[in-house]
Amino acid sequence: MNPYLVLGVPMNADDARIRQAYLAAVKQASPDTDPARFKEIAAAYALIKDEASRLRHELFDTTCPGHSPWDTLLRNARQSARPAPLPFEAMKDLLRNCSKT
Amino acid sequence: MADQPNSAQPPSPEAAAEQRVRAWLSESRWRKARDEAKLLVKQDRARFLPLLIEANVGLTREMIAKGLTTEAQQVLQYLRTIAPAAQCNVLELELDARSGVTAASLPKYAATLASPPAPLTPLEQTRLADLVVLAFEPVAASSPAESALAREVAAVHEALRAVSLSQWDAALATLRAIPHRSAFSHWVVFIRSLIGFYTGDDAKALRGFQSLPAESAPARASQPFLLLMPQPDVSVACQPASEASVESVCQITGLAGLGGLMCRADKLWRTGQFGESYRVFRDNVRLFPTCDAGPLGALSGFFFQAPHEMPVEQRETYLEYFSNLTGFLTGMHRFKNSTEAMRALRMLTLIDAPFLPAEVLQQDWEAYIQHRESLFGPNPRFASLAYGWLGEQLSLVRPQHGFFGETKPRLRDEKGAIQALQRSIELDPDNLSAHLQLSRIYEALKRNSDLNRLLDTMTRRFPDNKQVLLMAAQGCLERKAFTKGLNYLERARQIDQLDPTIPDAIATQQRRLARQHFQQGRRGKGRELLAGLETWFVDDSMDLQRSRWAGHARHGVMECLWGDADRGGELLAQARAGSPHAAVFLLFTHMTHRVYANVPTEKSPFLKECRNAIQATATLARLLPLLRVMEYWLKAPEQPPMDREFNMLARISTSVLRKPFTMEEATDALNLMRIHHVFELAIEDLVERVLREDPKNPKFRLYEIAELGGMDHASLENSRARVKDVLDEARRRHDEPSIREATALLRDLDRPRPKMDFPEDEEFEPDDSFLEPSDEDDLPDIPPFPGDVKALLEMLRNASPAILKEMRETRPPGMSAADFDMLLEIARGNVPIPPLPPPPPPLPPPVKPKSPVKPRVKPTPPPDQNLELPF
Repeated sequence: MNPYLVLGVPMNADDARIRQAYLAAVKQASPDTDPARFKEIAAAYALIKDEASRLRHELFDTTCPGHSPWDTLLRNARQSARPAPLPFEAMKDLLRNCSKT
Repeated sequence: MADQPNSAQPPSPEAAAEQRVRAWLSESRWRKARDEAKLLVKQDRARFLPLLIEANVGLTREMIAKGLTTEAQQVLQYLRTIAPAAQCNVLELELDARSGVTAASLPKYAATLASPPAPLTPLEQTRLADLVVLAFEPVAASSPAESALAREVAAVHEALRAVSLSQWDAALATLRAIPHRSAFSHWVVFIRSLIGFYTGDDAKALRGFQSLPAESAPARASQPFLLLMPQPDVSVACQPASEASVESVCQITGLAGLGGLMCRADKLWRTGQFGESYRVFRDNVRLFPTCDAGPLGALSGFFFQAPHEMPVEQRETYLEYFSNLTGFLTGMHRFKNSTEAMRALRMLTLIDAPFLPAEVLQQDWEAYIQHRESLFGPNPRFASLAYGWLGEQLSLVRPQHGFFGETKPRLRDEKGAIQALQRSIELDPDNLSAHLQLSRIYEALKRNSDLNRLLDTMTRRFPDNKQVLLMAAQGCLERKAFTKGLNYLERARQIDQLDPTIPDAIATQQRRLARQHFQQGRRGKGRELLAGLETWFVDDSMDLQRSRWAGHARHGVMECLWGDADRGGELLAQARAGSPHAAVFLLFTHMTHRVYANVPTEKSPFLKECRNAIQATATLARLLPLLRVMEYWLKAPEQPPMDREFNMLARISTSVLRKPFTMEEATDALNLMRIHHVFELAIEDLVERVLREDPKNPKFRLYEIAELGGMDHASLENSRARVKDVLDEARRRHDEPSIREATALLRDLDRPRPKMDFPEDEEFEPDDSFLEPSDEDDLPDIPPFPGDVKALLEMLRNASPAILKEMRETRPPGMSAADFDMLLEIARGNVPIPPLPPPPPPLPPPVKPKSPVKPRVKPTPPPDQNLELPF
């Protein structure tokens, strides 16, 4: 698990920002409404709630973010904030290429 | 009677063929459908021609989609001979659009869509609409219908442009100009879904994307967006569908142009070619690997985290690739960038830490720290944690056998460990775990002055940490600084008033201090301290640390030795009265006296009475508290030699086992008798008796299997089956301790034994230099223990100083340094050999009972009964 992605914070976020993100996340997914998601949020917060935890996570975390490169890309994208829209020209190319397949 | 279908009759061949054709058409198997439809048309053209046309239309579209333009033209040519012209027109337009709809060709598409010569099917309308939109050119209107169409196309383009600029409201407003039944309504749905995707409204996006017409361009374009959205019914660990779809996803996520590389790398990874997979990105993407937070950073992280979760046999080659990059053979590394160096060194060190030579471990880990600093700047807290880990790794204990078979702790790299931990503390004085680890090292190496200095520092730095205070108090106890120790303990008690170990420790220190006062003639102070201990007394008479009678016994001994003998006598009488029974009091007091007065067994004034009381012990119930007394003294810091006392107890153990005892007593006895080897025979006897009465008793069966040679070393399967059988019985009896013990034993049996099947390499020279001692404390080769005293003395006489030093340090726990030195002096002839004490009397042989009724083990009654079987 990437705790930064789960909480939707950048890797240079400080304690206050992480806590804010945690509180916002548990409001959306409380133990009653979404226990699995709540557990994930709580676990993510425990991993990075203060500087010492973050540094330990960086040093010793051995969890793999995916099963393969493609799988990792998808998982990362699904947990990350949405990317910015494609520029118009790129959007046109995407639509044309997709229509050919 | 009306005609009714006779279900017994099979369908006609014609009807069956028609069914097949329709099935194939619904499955888009155009060729099969066409071939079968051709035959049907020959039989009934009017009825089956539409099927043939549909098959050929589908086939044409399929070929257009695959880019088989020539083949599509051929089919279309044939289609023109059997289908209406209007139906072929749209296909022709689609075929022409294969290379794109240009500004020049756009008008004919717009005209066909706006005013079709014949009614268009929904599919044809959708396709034409898509072609017009995807031209991304303004439509020149030459009729009112085309004007409306042109406005709608412009609205679609404008909305897409607004989406690309994140102008959601503007996009939605533009889309309102498109009527509900427009040919472009599916584009409206698509654009609204896009807005939902980019704004995080997943429900809206998902709903919209999934409602698009299956064959439309927006539906195909929605696939990469759908892949990027969390969907519980879509497996994440899926293989990429096609390079085009992967490229689309890459474009959306900011990795435009990497679709081909991703497909290649993914395929290589899935086929076990891990290093090659990594190199696809490494060799072709300039910024890879990176620590950035985006998708490229995630990919980079994947390649360096994956080995931690791979099976060992799969990752060796992959790790070898990175090992070679470190340049351990050539001395020059070949890392692409600092990120690769940092991540590779971290990965290799974490995985291989137990196997690397100490200096390599240190070197690689420090290189990792340096690379990290070069990327992110210095961070003392980080470096402190990193050095702390290094210190832990270097301080792992390797067992080492000494002369008398004892183990002496040897650290992997003593000096390196201490240096690393000192560095860690220097970088971050608040790193408690580094302090604790360093204190453990000092303790293991018996560097008491360093340890005490460190503990004093720790109590200043972590004044409110209970663990630190307790360690410091223990240190004070060992160096007899009792007052300071008591201060630490009082502070610890303020932090945690519920921890029962703290009053135990306070009682110990206070007693030691009181003893010191008594020994130095300050009886008043000593008595005052012992009176203060009354606060900590407990009611449990077998709590030898804090029970009232044990406290009085200790005080009584002190008074007898250094104070008022009469008062001591009174206290001992009180203690005796409060103790569980006389033998317990006598044994405990005897041991207390031996420790306080530092005398051997035979010099204790309590010995005779104690021995008589022990010999009078008739039952197992009476023996158990005596064993507890010995267990207590075995764990005491001031542990004297206790062989004679153990022998006394062993002598009566066989006789008490002949008397009835309960299963609870038997279980306690088994646990307690394990404390000393002198009870081995008694334990065997006990196990045999219990299993005779209760053959399935889990605890005793486990002991028999694990300790009494019941393990079948030839067949793990047999042993496993026996332990499994015991586990089942333990579960049946709800015997939780036995369940745990059996489960642990099974786990141990099931642990895979590594296949040490390395290929022979004649050139390979094993490097076990890390097993060899360092130059500074070179351990000598210790000869095997000789079989008799004469040979031992001879060896001592001839041993080198290094060997003598090692022998002295690894002497048995019961032999003091003074005893060893005396032995040495005897060996050198400086001291005459003292007369040996008379050998202890041999143990009486077990007496077989004369009664025909065998002694029975009293089983522990089940909860709802209270039976007691007669003897």
